[in-house]
Amino acid sequence: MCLLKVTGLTKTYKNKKDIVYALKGIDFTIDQGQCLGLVGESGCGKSTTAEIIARLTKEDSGTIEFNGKVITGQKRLKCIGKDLQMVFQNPKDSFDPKYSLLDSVMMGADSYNLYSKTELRQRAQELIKYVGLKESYMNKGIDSLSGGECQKASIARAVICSPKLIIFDEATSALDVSVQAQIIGLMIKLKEEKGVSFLFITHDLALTSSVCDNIAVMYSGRIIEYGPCRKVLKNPVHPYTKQLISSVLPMKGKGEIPEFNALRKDQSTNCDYYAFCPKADKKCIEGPLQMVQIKERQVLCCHAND
Amino acid sequence: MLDINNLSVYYGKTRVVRNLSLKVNDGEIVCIVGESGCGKSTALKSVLMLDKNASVKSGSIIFNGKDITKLNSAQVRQIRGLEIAMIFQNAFLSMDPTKTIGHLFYETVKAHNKKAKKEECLKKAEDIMKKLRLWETERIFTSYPFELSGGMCQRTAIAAAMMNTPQLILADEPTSALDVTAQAQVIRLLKQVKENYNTSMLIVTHNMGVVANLADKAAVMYGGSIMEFGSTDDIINNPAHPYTKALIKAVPEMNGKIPEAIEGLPPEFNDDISGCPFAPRCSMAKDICYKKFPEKIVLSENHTVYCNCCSL
Ligand SMILES: Nc1ncnc2c1ncn2[C@@H]1O[C@H](COP(=O)(O)OP(=O)(O)OP(=O)(O)O)[C@@H](O)[C@H]1O
Ligand SMILES: Nc1ncnc2c1ncn2[C@@H]1O[C@H](COP(=O)(O)OP(=O)(O)OP(=O)(O)O)[C@@H](O)[C@H]1O
Ligand SMILES: [Mg+2]
Ligand SMILES: [Mg+2]
Repeated sequence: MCLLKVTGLTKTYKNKKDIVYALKGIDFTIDQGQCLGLVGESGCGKSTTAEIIARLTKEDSGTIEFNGKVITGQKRLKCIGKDLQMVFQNPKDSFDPKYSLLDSVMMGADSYNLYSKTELRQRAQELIKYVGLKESYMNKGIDSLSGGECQKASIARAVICSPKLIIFDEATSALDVSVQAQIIGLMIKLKEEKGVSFLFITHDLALTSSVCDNIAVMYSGRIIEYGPCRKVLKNPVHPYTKQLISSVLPMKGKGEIPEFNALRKDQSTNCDYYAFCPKADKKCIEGPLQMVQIKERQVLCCHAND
Repeated sequence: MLDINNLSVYYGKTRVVRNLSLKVNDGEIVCIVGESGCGKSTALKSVLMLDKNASVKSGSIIFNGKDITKLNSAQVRQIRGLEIAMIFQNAFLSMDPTKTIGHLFYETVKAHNKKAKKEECLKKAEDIMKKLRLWETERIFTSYPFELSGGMCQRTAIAAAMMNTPQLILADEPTSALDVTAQAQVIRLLKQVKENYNTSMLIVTHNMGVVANLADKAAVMYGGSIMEFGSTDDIINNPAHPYTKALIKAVPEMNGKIPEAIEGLPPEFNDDISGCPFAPRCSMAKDICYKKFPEKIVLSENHTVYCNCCSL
């Protein structure tokens, strides 16, 4: 069953002088119990996509269907309520520093009247331990937690009210690898036991391979490749996906790190990757941009694969 | 260059950094890895006395022959940003939200050089930013921090730290918000800076790929103490401490396997606990591990470990 359907999402931001085309038409779906990995160049619009889905930013155009209802153009609480929770890229920013860890996590479910006070407290305590925070920290002020501890707290807060979809925006980036593994374990458990879906925004391609069913690779406001996660990682089609995967720093065997520079002058083409693409040619200058189906995956029309 | 000796740092009555000793030589890059919440940021910030809530109760931090713990705040401010630059874990929160990025670069330089010209500062910043794959420098200069993405903020902070060509760079997870291509470029630039200016660096990271490709030496921290220290090769390919081994085993790979977490919770910061902080989660722990903090064992010239279960 399709839980989230995003169609034709666009967004521009206006700075003093410039217009930033943050999203240029994003389409994807997430089924119930599935995890979609969203990866791509820093600044390509991942957080913007997440914020629009969570109704924290307004889109320019496009529609979002969540749980069978169109939620674009609606008030946040009314349309999504407890069913959609988000872990933010800057977790410290998303908490009120006045409160303790336990209270902050409990507040994740406060307005929904799901549990009795004692039940809620107990659930919060269990979750706090589950994400690997110490017992003695229950009453510690949120403000005095370390970067990773705050991220753990924010995960506990997102999970507490049993949502249907959880958006993780770089939710594991400040965690040590052992805690990362624990969170991956939690995600798999929620997926399998409760049918929770995830939009997993991350820079860690290895982590996507362990939890994501599908992966969407973004570049400059567009999805340029979309398909089954492990297949895409193993056999990338789009030149940008290839470049991304080849940049992963290996843990064994260091080599020279190549410099990534523009290969040619940026011309006005439809393809944003033109200047960097090792395979670009004349066809790319005039060619139209459209998603093409290659086996079980979709790739933004790229002549390099003809 | 930097010699931290027996450092203990407290938040109120809680001792978070315990008897930490660490040396960074001229032109050397040392990475610190370790459990989330084990005191890495606290240790790093204490080098510049940056956290008002944290108090250094014992130990010394010798930088260029001066003990920083004995300097007054004006003297520390002189060093900060000029001789030692810091890149914070949360780049976004460390920036002044009311000032544009262009202004931030200008102020970073002007704080130590009254005669600096804005155009020259921005030109220099632009060169560094291009190396970090930030192409739209014009737009970034006129933007406020909240108008940038997480990774753009982080790279801006890295560029700002390099403006005054410091002798020592302290960086707290400088690549955590970056895509892997940008990560690789940051590593490349940091190595270039080290080669060209003999800059030393002390870098906290959770990314073992960063350690492997950047660091000369690595320190593994757990529960406020350094448990193992050695060359990058020693730590990654020949780890001795059970915690280091477990940590390396938990590194995810791109093959779809689910990485293995370490069972149990991190230790309480409790001065009554005198044994090895990792003992309760260690499969090799013996009685003595709960009673006595392990002795230092020297495995080779540069490789030391604190563990009762490791021997030569
Ligand atoms: N409030 C804003 N005002 C102006 N521009 C913005 C604003 N928020 C984001 N942008 C711009 O929109 C683009 C996309 O930003 P976004 O935060 O979605 O990127 P991202 O993919 O999440 O990147 P990262 O991986 O670095 O977090 C960036 O160029 C950014 O500068
Ligand atoms: N202002 C504060 N007051 C009280 N305790 C604090 C304060 N700041 C940090 N702590 C505690 O000190 C410990 C060490 O924090 P620190 O930020 O140094 O951890 P870290 O190793 O950098 O972790 P991470 O990898 O999660 O960033 C943590 O348990 C944290 O809760
Ligand atoms: Mg983002
Ligand atoms: Mg930290």
